[in-house]
Amino acid sequence: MTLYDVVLKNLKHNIGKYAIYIASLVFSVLIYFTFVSLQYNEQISEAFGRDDKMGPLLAVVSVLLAVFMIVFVWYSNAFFITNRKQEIGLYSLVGGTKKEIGRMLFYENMCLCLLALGIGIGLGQLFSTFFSMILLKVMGISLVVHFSINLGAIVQTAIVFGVIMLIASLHGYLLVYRFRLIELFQAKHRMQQQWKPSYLLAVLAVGLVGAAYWSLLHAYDSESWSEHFGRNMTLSLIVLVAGTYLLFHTGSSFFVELWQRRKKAYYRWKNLLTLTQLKSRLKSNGFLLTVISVLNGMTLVAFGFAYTMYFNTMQTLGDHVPYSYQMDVQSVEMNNEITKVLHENKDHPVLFDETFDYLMVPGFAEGLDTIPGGYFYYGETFALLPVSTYNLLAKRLGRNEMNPLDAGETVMLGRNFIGSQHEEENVGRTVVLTSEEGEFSFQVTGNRIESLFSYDVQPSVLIVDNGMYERLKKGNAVMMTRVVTVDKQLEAAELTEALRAVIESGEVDYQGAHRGFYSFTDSYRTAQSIYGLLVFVFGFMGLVFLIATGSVIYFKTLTEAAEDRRRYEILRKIGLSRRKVKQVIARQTSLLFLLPLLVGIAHSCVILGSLSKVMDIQFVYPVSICIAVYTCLYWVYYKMTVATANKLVNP
Amino acid sequence: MEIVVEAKGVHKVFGTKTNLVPVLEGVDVTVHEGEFVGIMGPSGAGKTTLLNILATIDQPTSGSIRIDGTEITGMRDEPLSEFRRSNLGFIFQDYNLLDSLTIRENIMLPLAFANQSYVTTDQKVNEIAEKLGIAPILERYPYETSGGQKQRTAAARAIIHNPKLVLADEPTGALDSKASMDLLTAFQLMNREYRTTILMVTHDAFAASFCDRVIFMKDGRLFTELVKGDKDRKWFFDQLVTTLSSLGGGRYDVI
Repeated sequence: MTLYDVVLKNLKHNIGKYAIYIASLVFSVLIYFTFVSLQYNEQISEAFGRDDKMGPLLAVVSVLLAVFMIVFVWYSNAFFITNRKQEIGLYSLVGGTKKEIGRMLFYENMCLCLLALGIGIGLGQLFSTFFSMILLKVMGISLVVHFSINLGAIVQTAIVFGVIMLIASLHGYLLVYRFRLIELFQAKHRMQQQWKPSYLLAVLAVGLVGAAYWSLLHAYDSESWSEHFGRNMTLSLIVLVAGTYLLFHTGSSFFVELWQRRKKAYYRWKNLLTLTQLKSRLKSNGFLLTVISVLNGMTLVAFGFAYTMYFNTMQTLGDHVPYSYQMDVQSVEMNNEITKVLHENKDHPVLFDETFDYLMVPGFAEGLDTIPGGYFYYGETFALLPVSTYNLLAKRLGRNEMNPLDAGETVMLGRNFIGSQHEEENVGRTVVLTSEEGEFSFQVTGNRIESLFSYDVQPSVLIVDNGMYERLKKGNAVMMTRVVTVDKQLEAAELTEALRAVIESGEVDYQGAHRGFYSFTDSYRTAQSIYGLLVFVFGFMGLVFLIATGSVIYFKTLTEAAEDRRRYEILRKIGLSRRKVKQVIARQTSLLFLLPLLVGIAHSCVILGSLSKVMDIQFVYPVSICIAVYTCLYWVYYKMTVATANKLVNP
Repeated sequence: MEIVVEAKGVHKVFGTKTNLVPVLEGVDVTVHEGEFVGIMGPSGAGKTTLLNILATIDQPTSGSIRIDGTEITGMRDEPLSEFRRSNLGFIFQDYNLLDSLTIRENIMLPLAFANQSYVTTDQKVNEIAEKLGIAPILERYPYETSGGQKQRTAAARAIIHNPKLVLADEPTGALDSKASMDLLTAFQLMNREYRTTILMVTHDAFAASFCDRVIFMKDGRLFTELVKGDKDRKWFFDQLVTTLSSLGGGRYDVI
């Protein structure tokens, strides 16, 4: 019998005990491989076509995933080896040098890793097909995904994981050197330290979290936030994380202590058993629980945000793209051709079809509170429309018409894509517009949050009196544009293609701020593919974090359960029924799962609440769905953990 | 006779700076080759700590320990492992067998680390197993055997590589009287047939009565020593019980 026989026999015999470890390795490989194979999938890259916004994003995410996997594999490896202290001690006693033992574990680990790599890639093949279908679905691309084996993805996964696993195995090898023999035999008998709760730190913990919450929730009205959003956000998050850590590390034992003082509740057997242990557990796991809470919070914020953007953009796209089609007027022939195409089309009758002109006027915006982005984008000019044109369009779009304006008055129009706007923005301020006749000063008497164009980048629009419009025409660019809205515009992709063909057949030679062709269906598709990809990526990451945090708690609970085996045996011997022992286990485990989940939800709600006001987006509905899904998955993990722990200590 | 263990002025202090607990306060022990020595004493006397230090599992705070002429205090990890491999065997109260290996493989484990050939290994295992009465269960796994069989397996494992010294910490602690008897008889046999030097910590006077000599400890020091000489075990047992009660552990500790 050689050492390698021992390694092999150990592997074969303990495969059940190693299952969790192998599973976590397989999971890491699976996630990574799935993602990489999406990157390599030819069908998907083809579906994206020219606008290759997916490549860089997926590349960044795959790096993030790899980093995350290193941490995860590292952690589970350390967990796995520490759990085998006794076995290592025995090898050491019968004369194994640390070098030999380390090498043994190293080989064993490499075997496991190779096994995991194989299984992970195999499963990943199936999953990647499934995930590509989801990806294409949320991006609104209809395509039948074929099962394909992707050599590039396999090679990349194998290399990345080969390196990660080599590092983890080396780490395990080095861990053996850190063990001292006497510790290996005394580990079980180490006493748990009892902690005196500190009022000060508990108050500080609550104070820090409270301060961060307060600051976040008042971000909307705050001067300092509107000027230094990034800085304040970072600061609040740091304070929040620090507060969370203190809350778990110190605060928790303090609150348990408070609970313990209520003797009546405390001496109920379940509470007694749960609380005494909980105090030291929460403290020693303070760091872990903080990390998990923060990860949970982050996941919920990221996914909630992405999902909301998706949800909201799709819902409110009509506000940003008010017409089915907008095109710059070119030749008369082309115009007629377009009209012909529009009227030949039976599925989508034309609801309105207007042609109007507007001016692009250079002006000075220094007098304004908030200078709209469109002003700078279009070379410090404003788009100018007369009241009459506005009222015509408003009637078509079902908006409120406008009362006539005085010569020196103007109404501003603009709608932010993201970000809240004040109703009375810039009202009472002045803008100066220039024409051949000189400079004209206008006072802003009203502000409307709406878009008047279907352009990708909206110019800042000013509505002026008809007479003033005529005067400003001199020396400024006059734009002619045609807007069309058809019935059932969302399904009008075919019509869009027909129109695009007409436009592209003509020669585009127009000196102006815009030219071309803007359609609702194109905008919708673009938005869907961008936000769909975001939702997918964040959803995927969220799933990874969820499973990872769940597994970490699972590991942790099982390690602790194994240590407490004797304790539970005593409980059973002094007459606690199996059912009740299980209840005690369930109670302890539930807190380990529930606390970080609740804290994570609370944090994410406050952060999203703050963002919701600043960005003027409603998060409630999509975020509720996220939280519900997240909680359900966590619950499954909880049930699994309790069942396994129970099997371990309560056979 | 050759001296196997020679410990001089062994001190051991546990605890942190503010709270120091002396466990051994200058212990001198000498064990000769082929001796079967017991260490007894009330709980907290420092028996197990002494054994751990002699076993190179723990380091003394001060003092010198020579095993088979080699000074082991301050030895580096690597040579220490080599030293353990060729010179020491261990038996613990909770057996410490690997569940994944059969009884035979468990016994062979020390030889696996010493890279010995199959044939000699197998013969040796068969021979020892025969002597210790575990030959019929060699192909079983530890969970298929009784506590007594497990402990005799541990004993076989402890002597398979002909160590200079076998250290046993409460080996009968988890065994019933029949299994204890079998194990101790096995120890005596090992001691006589292979001339294995055995050092055993126990609080059980019955177990200790199998020894040639018993060292008594109290509060981290050697208290007294009893030698069986050519008297029988019954007489020795009575002597041990008397000494133990004078040690102040109380009669309840003895029986």
